[in-house]
Amino acid sequence: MVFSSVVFLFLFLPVTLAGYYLINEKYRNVFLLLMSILFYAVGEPSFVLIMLLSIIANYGIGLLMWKTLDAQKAVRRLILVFGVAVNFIILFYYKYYDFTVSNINGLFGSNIALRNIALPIGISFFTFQGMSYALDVYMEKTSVQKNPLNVALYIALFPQLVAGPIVRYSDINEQIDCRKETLSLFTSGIYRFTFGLAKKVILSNTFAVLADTAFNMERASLGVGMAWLGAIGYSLQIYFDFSGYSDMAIGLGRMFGFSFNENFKHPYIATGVTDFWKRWHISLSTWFRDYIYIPLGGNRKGNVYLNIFIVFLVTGIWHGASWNFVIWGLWHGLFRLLELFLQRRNIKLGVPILIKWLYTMLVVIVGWVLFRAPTISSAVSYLKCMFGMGGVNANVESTLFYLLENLIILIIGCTCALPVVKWIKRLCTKDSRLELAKEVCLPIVSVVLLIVSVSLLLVTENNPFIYFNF
Amino acid sequence: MKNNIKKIINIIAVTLFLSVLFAFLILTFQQKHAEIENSIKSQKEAGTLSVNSVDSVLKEQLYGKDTMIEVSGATKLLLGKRLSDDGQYFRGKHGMIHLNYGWRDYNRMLNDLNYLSGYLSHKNTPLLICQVAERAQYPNGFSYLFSGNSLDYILPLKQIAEENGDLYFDYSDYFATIGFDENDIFFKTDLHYTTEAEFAAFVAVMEKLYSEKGMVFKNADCVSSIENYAVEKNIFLGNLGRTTGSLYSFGVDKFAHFVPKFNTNMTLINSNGAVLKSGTFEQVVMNGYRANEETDQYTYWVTDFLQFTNPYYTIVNNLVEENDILVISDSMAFRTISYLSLACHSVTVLDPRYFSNTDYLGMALENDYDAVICFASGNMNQGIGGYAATTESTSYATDTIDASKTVSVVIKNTGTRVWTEQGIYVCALIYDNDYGIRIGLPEGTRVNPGESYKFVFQESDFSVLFDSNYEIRYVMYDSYGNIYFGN
Repeated sequence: MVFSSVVFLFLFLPVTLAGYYLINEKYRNVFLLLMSILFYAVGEPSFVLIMLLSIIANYGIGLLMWKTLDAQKAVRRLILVFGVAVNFIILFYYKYYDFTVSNINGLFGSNIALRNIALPIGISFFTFQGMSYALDVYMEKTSVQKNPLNVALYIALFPQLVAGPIVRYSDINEQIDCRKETLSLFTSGIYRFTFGLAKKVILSNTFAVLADTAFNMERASLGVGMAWLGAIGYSLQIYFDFSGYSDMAIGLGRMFGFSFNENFKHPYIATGVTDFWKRWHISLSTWFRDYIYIPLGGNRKGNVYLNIFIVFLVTGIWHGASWNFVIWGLWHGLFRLLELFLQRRNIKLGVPILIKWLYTMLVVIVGWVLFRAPTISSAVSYLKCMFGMGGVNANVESTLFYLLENLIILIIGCTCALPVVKWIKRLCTKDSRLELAKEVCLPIVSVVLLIVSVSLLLVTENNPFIYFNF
Repeated sequence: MKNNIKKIINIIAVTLFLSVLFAFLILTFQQKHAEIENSIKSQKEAGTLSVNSVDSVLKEQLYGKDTMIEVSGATKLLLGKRLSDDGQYFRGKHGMIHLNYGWRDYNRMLNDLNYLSGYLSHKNTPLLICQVAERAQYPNGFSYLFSGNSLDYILPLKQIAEENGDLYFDYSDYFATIGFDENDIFFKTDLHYTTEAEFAAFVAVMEKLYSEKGMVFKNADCVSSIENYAVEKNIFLGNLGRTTGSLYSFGVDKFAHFVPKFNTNMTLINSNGAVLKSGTFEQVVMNGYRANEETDQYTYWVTDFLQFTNPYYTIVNNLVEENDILVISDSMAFRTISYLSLACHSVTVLDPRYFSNTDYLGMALENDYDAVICFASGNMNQGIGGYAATTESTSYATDTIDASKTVSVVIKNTGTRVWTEQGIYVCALIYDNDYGIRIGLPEGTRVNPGESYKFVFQESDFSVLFDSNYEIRYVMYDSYGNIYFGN
């Protein structure tokens, strides 16, 4: 079930909200847990057991580590390794087994049978959350949770179950036990949810059509203009798709009294790849920072360049069992390393901020082509078209058509990619009348966006969620 | 900002949001619970029940869906979107929605028409090929062929008619001569023609058959005068406008019904000869004309005429004695055909979209007609009824034979036409040349689609000899259409 669907908006959500607020407060967590399991089960009935297995395993690991608190570090480390291995094995089997086997077959000429294993939705997210719990308990960042229902709720909570943000247990454990549902939190949740829904349905789905048109074109017909249009379209699609979903997740969390951390901070205004990764999918990049980069030594021990290389390699692998994701990760890693090199050598190029931004966008957009294309050769052929090495039968007329067709949405999309909300908030704090006007307009805008989003949902069959595939 | 004011605004926001959610939930299930229940039950029985299928049901049955469609259309208008997400529809000038046909393979239809033309010429039955007007011309400099490869079949159609001496009627040319423009011919929101355009086409077809083939329509003056019809117009949101609403098209269309003021007495007969209904034109041809129904802009008036999804039926006009006509058409010409039935004794309608591998054309051609009309729309790319064959076996393993032997060849009918002794032969091509070595079917033989037949050649059939070895290839030949097929 996706948030941007009629069955979620007009069946699951109202029923869950009604049940949650009508039920006795002490049973709310149980109710939320059951609804979260139901949420997953209706979409993935056969895989709900995998999620439950992950919950049980991580709960058990946490308990074991608590029981061995006074034991030798080696024992606790062994338990941790076992815990991480269990999570990793689940993830590896469902996500990477066939990829690994096909590469082994290709490399060694063997004939090991593929299993064509279906990927449980959200497996990358909930296994990472589970691992995060075990790791935080080990590192004593948080105390163990003895109530299995709380661990279950942490991992299975439906707002962030299938596409993040990846919530740390230490950020949420207190909220599980004693959160306060307030009117202002609920209201801000509504706004966040409806704005996220609009980003997904109005913006992302529209850009998806443009991107699909370009990426599905015969390369001989794909000129430079159309190729860039498609690449920019996909860049905007994936941003609004994922950030929209994160907004909805954060908004839903607030409706139930939870406050999740931000997952995006306007990544398309970044002035460097380093800066970009402080703004894009923050929950994942910080997860890798805290559980891979720092344990490897970070920038203090070992080879910092190797550590960063490993992080970006793993980032690529996390996104999918395909070489183009690995190359995408390493592509970003390359520029991150370059920037680190310049920084460490104190080399200041004196480049204007606009040029830095253009460089960042170039890296990011080219990266998205690597990310989007089904194969490496397809990505290469697309990139060739972008840089004038393809599209011999390209039609300028057709490019102009698609540009004009999408001009308004492109302007809106590019504007929304800027920190417009922040600017408006800042402006409003300077004038109480503007502040009042903003507060009055928000509910109206929110309902209008909700209605418009629903209206578009009714007429479209095309409603993909890119990050569901991870 | 004062906390009280903020609190009030928050209450309003929450109330609005929850009202929207619960209103849709409650009203949808209250008004449409039976439809939702039935849909889910059928999905369960079919084993297709899933969260996505339930979502589809709710989307279909959502309370206020029509209003929401208008909102989506208005949104697309504000965003300047002219092309639908799936690329199927394009909004042109003045809100007219065009259909993007995409690219189709018309070869089968052209082959079949060629056969039909040849067959009918043997029977001295005039064939009128009507080229329906394309509504796929887009402004703003976009390629005309955005509609696909229409020109690939428009020109060959004319060629077939000219070469075979058939009649040819081009809708677009005709409408231009009578001063009809795009808005007169097409609905904004539906892919069919306006009734005014179809009526004009009916009059033109009658005049064509009269002027070029001398077919007399005794009541032509009566049936072709609009004065003899009561004209009723209803608001109409057509099939192209159903997913975008009336706002997107700058309003709805007006669907005209021309109801005869004069007496009519019609009978509808199915392919088995059974009478389906009898009565007036409104009752039989216009399917009761929704006499007892409540109607609105969503009423699909187009299906008032003739029999949708029926591949073969005949309308008999009990008040007219002359002219039995066979018409091959999809719904593009249904109103034209309807009014034609007022001028003829009978109109037999074949709709190739619903043939489903049954040789309805063959069945129809067992009867004689005064004229055959084919309204050749792009939708007939699956063919009108054609020949195809596959050689399954020969009694010799190699292609070369000794002339002293006999050879049998088994050929399977993989087309949709029945093979009879009328014009169907198997040919033995020697070095790919046709020396007239062919075997026909014995009288009364019928090789149905999917069946195989064993043709036997004797030594005497190979009277043309080059040497003792031959390279032979067996093909089928239709002498009426002068078409080779199969291998």
